[in-house]
Amino acid sequence: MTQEYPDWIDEYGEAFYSSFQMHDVRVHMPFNGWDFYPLFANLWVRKMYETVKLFREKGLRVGDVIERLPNHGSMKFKFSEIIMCLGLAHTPPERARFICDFFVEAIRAQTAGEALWANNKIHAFEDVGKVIAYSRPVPADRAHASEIGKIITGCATLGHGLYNDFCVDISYDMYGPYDVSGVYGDGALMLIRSFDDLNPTELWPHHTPFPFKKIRVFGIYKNIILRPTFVTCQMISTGNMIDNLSHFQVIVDGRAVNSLDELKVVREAILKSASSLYVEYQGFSFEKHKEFWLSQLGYQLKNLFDIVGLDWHPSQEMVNRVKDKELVPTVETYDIPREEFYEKFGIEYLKQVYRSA
Amino acid sequence: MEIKGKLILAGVAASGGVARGKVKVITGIQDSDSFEEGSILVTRITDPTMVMMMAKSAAIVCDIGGLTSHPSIVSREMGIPCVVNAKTATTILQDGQEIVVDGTAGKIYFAE
Repeated sequence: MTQEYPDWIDEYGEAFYSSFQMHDVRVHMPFNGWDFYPLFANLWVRKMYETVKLFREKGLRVGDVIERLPNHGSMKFKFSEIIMCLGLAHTPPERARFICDFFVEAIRAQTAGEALWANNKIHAFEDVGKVIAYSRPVPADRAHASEIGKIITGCATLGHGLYNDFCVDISYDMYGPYDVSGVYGDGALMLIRSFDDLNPTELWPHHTPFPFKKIRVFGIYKNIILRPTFVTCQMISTGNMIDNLSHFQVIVDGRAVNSLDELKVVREAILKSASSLYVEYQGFSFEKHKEFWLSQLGYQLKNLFDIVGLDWHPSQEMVNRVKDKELVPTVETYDIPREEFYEKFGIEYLKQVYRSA
Repeated sequence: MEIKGKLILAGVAASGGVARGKVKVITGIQDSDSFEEGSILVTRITDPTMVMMMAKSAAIVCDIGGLTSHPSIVSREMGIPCVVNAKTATTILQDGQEIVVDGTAGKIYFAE
């Protein structure tokens, strides 16, 4: 704690700012979500407050429900959006701190290692051996690596259609890199790509089921540098991910898939699903996109709402709030001075609410 | 690796490596049938409908985007070169042109 506000805020600001300096606001699909939040920010903050209040009133402890929380990537990215909403909604400081303290506690409990924000490690060093024992990676050659790269691409892309650009973390989380040099030799790193929900029937109830529910890709790499960013699925790598894959395992709905023929079958099914779903998704009207975006938002935190007994669906009030409304230009570029960025994304507001404590 | 050829465009180096191939400018899934394996996929920004073409491409070039945008992330996973934020790629590059994409330096050359 500094004299004015908790230390995590500066680390958060730096990680979040650095992450978005590598992004381009023009690429968000189906639209720029930062420009959507002003329409309903106070309602979303109210729901978050109700959720945390219920969590505390029920006497729940983060440590006891950690396996039931939304995944690490979702908790982090939704928290960043909530921070922006706290500022947009001019949330009373006490209420803002109440929400933030819960999320920081939960994210800290999900995170291994010292850094809190630009950190993708959820397994402690002593647990990595158990992950290897469970996944049992097999040697990779270039053909396997190429198929795996396409499977990862397909899963990530399917996630963009199922959940949109701002909620994709629910389907694409990444863990590591973990030092596995003790098992695989000098410089060996393990990276886990976890595609946790590729068949969300509650969110897409009328859609033909997607081919797989959960896919995890365990990759052991050598001679590459992996740098986590604030957004967990946006790991920056230096070095060729295909040439430098040493061992791998792919777990598809609990089944190990590692033969070239089986990998091709999975790759083909995922790529086709990803492409056809997005054609359908692109066909939505703007009004439909806005309404469905709210459902995707709620669904991403469904596990948290389930814990406290709240419905994950957007309230009718939220739906009405965005109906027939244009987006509100709020973030037109990420290429702005740090001070302006902190202002726009609620980080300055966050400092104020803790300063006033 | 020394690249011979005239520099055409520069952008953000999003995924390393060098690839040579013929340009195919695409706008969406309607280009799938005419997209040949080993082509250089050139577009304003990739979207998920293009994923089958991305899996067949030798390299990707986009007018806009950053290091953590969709084309950058997937090209790194597939181990193919990618240059984003090349600004005018879709207007300067023409279908069938033979080019070299240097994803490490973020540069695009006419092939010699």
